Amino acid sequence: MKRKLRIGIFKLSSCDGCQTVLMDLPSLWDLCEVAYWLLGADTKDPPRVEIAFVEGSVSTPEEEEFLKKVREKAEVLVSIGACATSGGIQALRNFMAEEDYLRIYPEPEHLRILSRSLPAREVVPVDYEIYGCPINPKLFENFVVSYLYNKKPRIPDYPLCMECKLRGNICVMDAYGIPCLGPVVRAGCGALCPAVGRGCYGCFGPCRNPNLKPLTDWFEHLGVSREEILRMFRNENAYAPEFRRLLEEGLEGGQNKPADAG
Amino acid sequence: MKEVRINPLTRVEGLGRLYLTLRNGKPERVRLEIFEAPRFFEAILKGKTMDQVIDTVARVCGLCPVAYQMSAAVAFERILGLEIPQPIKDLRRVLYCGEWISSHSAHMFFMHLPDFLGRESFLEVSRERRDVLETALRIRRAGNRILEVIGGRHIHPVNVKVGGFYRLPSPRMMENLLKEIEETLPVAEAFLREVLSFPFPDFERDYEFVSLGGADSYPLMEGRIVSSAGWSVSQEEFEVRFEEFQEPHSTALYSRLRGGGFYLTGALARINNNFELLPEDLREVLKAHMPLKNPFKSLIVRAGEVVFALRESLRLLRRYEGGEASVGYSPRAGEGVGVTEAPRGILYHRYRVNGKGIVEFVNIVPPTAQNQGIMEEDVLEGLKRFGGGDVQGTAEKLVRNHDPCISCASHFLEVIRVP
Repeated sequence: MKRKLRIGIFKLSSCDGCQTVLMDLPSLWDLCEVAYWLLGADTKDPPRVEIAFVEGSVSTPEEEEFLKKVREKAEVLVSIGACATSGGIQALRNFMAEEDYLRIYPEPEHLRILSRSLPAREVVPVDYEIYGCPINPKLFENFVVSYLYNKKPRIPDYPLCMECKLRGNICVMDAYGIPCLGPVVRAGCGALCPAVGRGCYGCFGPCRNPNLKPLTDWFEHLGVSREEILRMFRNENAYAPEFRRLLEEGLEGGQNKPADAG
Repeated sequence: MKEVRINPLTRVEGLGRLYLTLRNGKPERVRLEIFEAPRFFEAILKGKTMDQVIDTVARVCGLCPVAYQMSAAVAFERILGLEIPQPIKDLRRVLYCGEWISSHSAHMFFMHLPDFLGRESFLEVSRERRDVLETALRIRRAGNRILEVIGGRHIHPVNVKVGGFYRLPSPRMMENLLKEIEETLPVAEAFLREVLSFPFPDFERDYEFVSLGGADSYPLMEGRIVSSAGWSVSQEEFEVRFEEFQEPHSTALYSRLRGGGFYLTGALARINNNFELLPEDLREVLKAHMPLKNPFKSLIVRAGEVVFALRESLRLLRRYEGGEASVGYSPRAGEGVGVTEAPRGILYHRYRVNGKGIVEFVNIVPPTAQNQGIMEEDVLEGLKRFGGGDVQGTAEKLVRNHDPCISCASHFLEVIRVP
């Protein structure tokens, strides 16, 4: 190995789940110098790094400032996980009136939050995005190794159906009429949900050019109510642009069409 | 007067900092400030189906998602009046054991152990001690394997639903899992023996321990809420017994006994309140340390609980004979609570569901919010005891003992005001 890659793990609003994959990838401990990782090491001030992995969404002014500081100190910035790539499950508040979620605080005046929970790329330039809630440890490992060898990292952009077929799953929608987001959701998890006989619920967010309309039509054909269909998209990646449009405009919205139909 | 700021705390889960006020070098006040951003779970869970809540509530915590799924499932099944067959209960208990193993090993090795070996991280430890590295990987992998085989994924499992599971693991997968657990058990037992011989700082505190208890097995998902002070209440009486209050500096609520003081939940509380429910030989190994009131020795308790969880998984998997993956139900309106023992202590959920099975109200009280008061007291007492020297390092260790999960704690709760 020619050199060690100097990396940092930087956390914003999140559950810490994505960064724990580093605990289970000892192969990377030899390839990397982990210069910043609050969960697992004592360094308190963000140092310069070659790659900054950012977990979590930007939902407070402090996080916004912190992320900008991280960007300045990193050559390459990589968002990891649904929070950093789409705003995460906490971005469901972006669709709500402020008083409806602030109400749960006894004294909301002590809170300093941004009006929306944002993906990292809405605040700073982002070089790569690794998707998933949580990310797949294998894809994370692949990213680091590929980077070190100047290879293109494998970040799937095709629908989950591809992975599902390769795994040999029975299609839950075809065989059992269970609504499944697989046709419009990015591959990467390994088609876990269809493997246990349930429909995909969208952990990896929209695939490239997702064709939502035929899928939501098909759900209706299966007897799923419109309310339930929209509820399925209120997931960890609800604020990803393609899902967000559907939720904001509804099934009748002009955007619920293939991307190339404009 | 001098203020010391430890910002941010390291080797804890989530974002927190500590403010110490010193007068003539003596600690006078301690404030644990949680600055992890609130994620408004109680609000965003509303309007979801019960099964969606089980998937979504896992996202509160990447280290203990099963705890969240289980407290929710228990609450929903109470609302529905569902009787869960024993084989499903057994598999869920194994799944939960998997989470204890995985989460405890994250804390023991990556967060706690470097304090005892005078290192800054486990990565550093692992370069000097390949044997400890092997042990850590082995134990954590066994926990993760249980979560994968039964839960479908080790972080945010996909296989839990109201009434049971979506699909049962194949006999072949179960067989391989059994083998892996069998091979891991001696490694975990050896690690327990090793930590028993660690030099622990002399520091005992008179905590009131609160945990589940009073059942016929070491508690994961069963029993009443019991206290070392001698009282016990049903899970439904949680909000009657405890109250939450807000401090301006924290995005998490504090918990205390209504009309009383702070209490401790978590590994220490569990073992003190349920010691007689551990297997006899494990009691033999641990009994010299009981009653265990030294928070530094929580390392021993976690190592002991890992051994217990591996054995319990073996016992349940060996007797497992299969059956239905889940039981069916028709939705009905109602309100219900679920309390289970997350790795870090009792995790309380209360839900109200309408006749269509849609969740209308949520209240969650995570263990770390309950332990905030005790952690501050520990730092104050600990700094008095251990005096000068590395004030910051000592203070951080005193917090770390309790394995705070700050991401969990910052998810604000509906406030229950004392009438």
